[in-house]
Amino acid sequence: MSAAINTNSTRPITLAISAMGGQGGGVLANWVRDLAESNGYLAQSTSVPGVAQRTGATIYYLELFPHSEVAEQPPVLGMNPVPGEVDIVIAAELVEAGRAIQRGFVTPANTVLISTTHRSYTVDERQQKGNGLVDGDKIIALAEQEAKQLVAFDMQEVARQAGSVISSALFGALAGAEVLPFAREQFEQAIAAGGVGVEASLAAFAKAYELAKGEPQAEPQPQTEAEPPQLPETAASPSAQKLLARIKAEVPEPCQWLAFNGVKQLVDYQDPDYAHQYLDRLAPYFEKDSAENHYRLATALIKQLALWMAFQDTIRVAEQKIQAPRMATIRREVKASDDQLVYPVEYLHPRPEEVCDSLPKAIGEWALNNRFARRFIDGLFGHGRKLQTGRLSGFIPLYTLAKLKPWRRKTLRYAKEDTEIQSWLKRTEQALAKDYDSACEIIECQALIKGYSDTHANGYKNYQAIMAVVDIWLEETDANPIAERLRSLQRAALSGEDDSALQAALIQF
Amino acid sequence: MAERSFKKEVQLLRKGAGEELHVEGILGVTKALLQSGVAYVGGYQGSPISHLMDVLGDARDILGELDVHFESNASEATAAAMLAASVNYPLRGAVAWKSTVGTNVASDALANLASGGVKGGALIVVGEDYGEGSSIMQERSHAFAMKSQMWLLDPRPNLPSITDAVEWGFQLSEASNTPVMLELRIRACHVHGSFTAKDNQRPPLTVKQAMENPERDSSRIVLPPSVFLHEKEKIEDRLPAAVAFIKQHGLNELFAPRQGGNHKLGIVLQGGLYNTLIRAMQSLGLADVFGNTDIPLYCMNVTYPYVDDEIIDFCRDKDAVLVVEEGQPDYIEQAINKILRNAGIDTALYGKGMLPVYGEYQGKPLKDGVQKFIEAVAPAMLGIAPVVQSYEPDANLIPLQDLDALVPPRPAGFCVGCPERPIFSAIKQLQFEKGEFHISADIGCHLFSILPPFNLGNTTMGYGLGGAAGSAFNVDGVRRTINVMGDGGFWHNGLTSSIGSAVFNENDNVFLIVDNNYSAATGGQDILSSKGSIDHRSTQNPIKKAVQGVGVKWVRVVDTYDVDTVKATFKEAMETPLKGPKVIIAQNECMLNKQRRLKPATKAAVKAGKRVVRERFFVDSETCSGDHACVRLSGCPSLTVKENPNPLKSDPVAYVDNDCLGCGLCGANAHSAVLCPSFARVDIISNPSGWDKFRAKIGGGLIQYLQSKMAAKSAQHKF
Repeated sequence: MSAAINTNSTRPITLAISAMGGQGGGVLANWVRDLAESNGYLAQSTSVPGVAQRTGATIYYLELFPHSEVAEQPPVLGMNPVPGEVDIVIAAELVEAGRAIQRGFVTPANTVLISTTHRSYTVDERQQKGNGLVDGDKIIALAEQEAKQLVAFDMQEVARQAGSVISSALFGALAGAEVLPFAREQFEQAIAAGGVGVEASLAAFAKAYELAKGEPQAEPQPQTEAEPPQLPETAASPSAQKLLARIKAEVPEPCQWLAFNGVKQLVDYQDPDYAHQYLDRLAPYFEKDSAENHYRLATALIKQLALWMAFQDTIRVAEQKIQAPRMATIRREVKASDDQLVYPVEYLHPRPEEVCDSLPKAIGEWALNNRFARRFIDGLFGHGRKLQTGRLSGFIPLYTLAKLKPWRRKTLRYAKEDTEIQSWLKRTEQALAKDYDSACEIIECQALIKGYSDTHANGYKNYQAIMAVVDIWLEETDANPIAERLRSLQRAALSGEDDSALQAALIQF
Repeated sequence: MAERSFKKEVQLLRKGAGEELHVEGILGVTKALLQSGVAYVGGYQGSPISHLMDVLGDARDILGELDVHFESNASEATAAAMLAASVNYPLRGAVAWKSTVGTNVASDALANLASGGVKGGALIVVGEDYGEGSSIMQERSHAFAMKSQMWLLDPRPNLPSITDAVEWGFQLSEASNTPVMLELRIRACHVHGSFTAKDNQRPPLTVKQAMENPERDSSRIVLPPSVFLHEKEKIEDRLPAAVAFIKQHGLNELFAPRQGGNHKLGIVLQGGLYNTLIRAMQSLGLADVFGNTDIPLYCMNVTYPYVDDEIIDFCRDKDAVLVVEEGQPDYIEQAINKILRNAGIDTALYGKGMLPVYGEYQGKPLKDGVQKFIEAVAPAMLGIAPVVQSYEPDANLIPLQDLDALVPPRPAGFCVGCPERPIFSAIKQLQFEKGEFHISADIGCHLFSILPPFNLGNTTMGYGLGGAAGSAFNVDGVRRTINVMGDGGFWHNGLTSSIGSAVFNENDNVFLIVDNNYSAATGGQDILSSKGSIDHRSTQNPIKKAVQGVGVKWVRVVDTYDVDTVKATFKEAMETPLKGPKVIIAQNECMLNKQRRLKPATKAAVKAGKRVVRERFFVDSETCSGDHACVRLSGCPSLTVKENPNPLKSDPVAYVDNDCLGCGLCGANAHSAVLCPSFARVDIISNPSGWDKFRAKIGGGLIQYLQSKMAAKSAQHKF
């Protein structure tokens, strides 16, 4: 036994399961208990059911003690884990492994930590307006540092592939880690005795067993800061080849891959001309940036300009909804089998604004400001629609809308976005003359504009409010750099439900 | 139908003398009740004793065979009141509830019961919901025992001790004519261990026999002048009788130290803390795994009343004694101080101070506390203190404090597809329009509304009291208040305390009753308004009729998942000129229970080749812009995020995982809040019919043709 834990009579084997309610931690605890009880051990398990089980973090705790060591009186088994005294911690989610370490249950001297590396994001992380996800790699690094032995891999994925649930993979990893004084067959008997979904459970168990056994010190994924993917030598069409050649000629090498993605996106969004316009707009900035600056400005601009130029209008959304590859994605995600039929039902709810935005500029403006026209449009589109894009009834309207793509440059929306893009580029250019960092932050502000309808309008409003600050700054002579302030304004704009944080931050100025 | 079925486990209740039972604490208690010849049982569900009620519910056949009556009491007050059957008759009765909240509710009946005293053994199993995993305010049941002169058992948390405590609890109750409380901590309720069974006993007198032969004794009724007699009896008769019984039967345990132990020290502890204390002492080298310690222990399996003689005998001739008493105030420590002082014993007494004044006594605080105590009074016992080496912190180590930022809180929340979530989506949306509401929340799953992403709810004052807690705001204002209650709380007492009172006082506010067919938070037990029909209970009594019966004029029943309608109904309730309470009953079945009911049926249908349509949601990651507005209106565990597939974007995109039950909230929100076009419902048809296949062929064929044309066009500019 490689890393067998202390199994002598002075103390029981202690095992804590750190999981979320509803993950099957109870099933796992039962397996471990049955395993121990059927193989010459006394076992005691405790848990905290109740409301804590409703998706919240929870701890199951077990103590195992060999019958052979029982003297006149039975052993006194503990009710909950004691920091520094836990032999095995099993974590059914990565942050829950972090929580177990935080609570002191994982100690370098004693604890074998068996943790899945998959994440189930908390509400706290998911609800942020930007990226609120915690750094899972760092938790793995800490786990490696704090555990006597770490067995870590994506056990959720192992279970999923076997058509089972994570408890079977965790149980397999526990067996594979060879820390309990039981043989693989004895583990498998415990699963079989449970009697539910035995075949799939055993498959997940086996896979996890192999992985845990073969890889006692699973490495966290190394940070692949390495080479960005290479551009293709040549493109498959003349028009694309022209663009590719331009990228190679004009864009500094470290930025080429990103620019290539931007170009591809814009060709797909509109046409090669539009992508040329993108490169035209980028061109002046490359010479103003440098390797010493790690091309921060160019990188930001390549991303944000491509995103802005590919604004999500109704034509774009229609096109995204009816493309053939999407259907394959859906089928894969819902795990449809070949003999099942799959129909997406799209939830669409354009407001009069979006409808008018899709009209030619003059008509759109008129309709938007005309009470009767607006009411008419509202009557037509004022309630949510459900369109079945897998059936002709839903496909045809969206197909027709997507076919309007060649006329996009004439729409009201295009006119509005294009004007804003131009002012933004102008601000960037002026700022660059004053301060490089500040110019970078002006570019980043574009990321505040996202979402649809109210979310989009609010994002725009926040962006405009910050740009007003920028405009004042641009007019001041010998003003201090504004980069730090812009960063804090962006953070404020992304915090909270409404714009109160931003308003407060604006007043602070 | 409760969330968890014990149909299989309850068969263990039939086991006879000498057989070994491997069960949870709660099931052990149930078995012990039957072994004690209990005549009637009841209670009110709530963690950590919900399973006791579920076990009793599932054990109907066995109870019937033994002529034991089981009542699903409407509240803890009704459960306590039911113990009145033991006042005139030598019937053993037992009830169970979550404490201290349940004991609070029950205390009116308990005080009356304790005043007159009991003839038959009356046992109250209280699940002490204190510490980790608790969902209530942190208080002690101990105070109730003291104030009403009831006895409180706190046995060591192993199954033999717990099951024994049930049996001698009844005997103690009868010997002293006093109701007895049996306190079980959370993990003790759910500890899985084993004990040796005894035969079940039929009650010597059944409730039927008692009912057919009424007896009365007016001196047992709580009315002057008897009440003065009762108080005298409590002190002069019942207390001495209890103390004598406890001493005679050695209910409290004295553990002498092992060879070489220190007789000059001692630890007094609550029985329920025994295992954790032993583990703490073991890690300090002061005990072995079998509980042999270096310090004598006085283990109080009865924590009230105190047996003065035993305490005096234990402390006499000792230099120092540590009292290990969980929670606050430190009633036991105070009492022991008084007892020792009155007896003129000057043994130093330690307790709070060495140990934390408040909070659960898990392993670490006990280990630290015992260590502090020994360091103060007999440091040599701890051996040579470890040499503190000066060491350079490894610069390469990641500081553990970094975890604070890496481990976000994960409180319990609404389950996947919960029908209560959409109600709060609607209220949150209405708030954007009308400004913030004062929301009086209540006990139940719906209380999760106070957490992100909803952040709705101002106070919670007790089960069924959501309406009552908002009653001060019965004045004209810009916005009406919203008073929440679940169906569980409604039938517990909310019908009268919240709705009846609001009608009588012409309260003009909005009352939301969340009707999910069960007492869902406690494990899905059935209630009066449950939709299912159960052969031994009367269900399907609509809440609407009840509120109309107490005089509510404005009632609307809405489907929770219909966010638009829920929002419009709240708006109407906010704006209607009609006076009096506006009651909105938001209905849909608890998803946990529904899935438990439907999943096997659906699986079977698919297997049998029947056409089955499963729905779930999907987000287009290209269309999603990563603003997460949808998450802020839902919080569904299934509506999560994933890395953005677009290398130009850095914000994670919304993503629906395969746990999605297709409840429809994502779509309803996308429409009602006009969120974004990224959401699609996906209908997955298993075993499609001939017509399905035909349509798919014709329509699908044409669609594929058009798609290929589009693809051909974009291929012109292929990279």
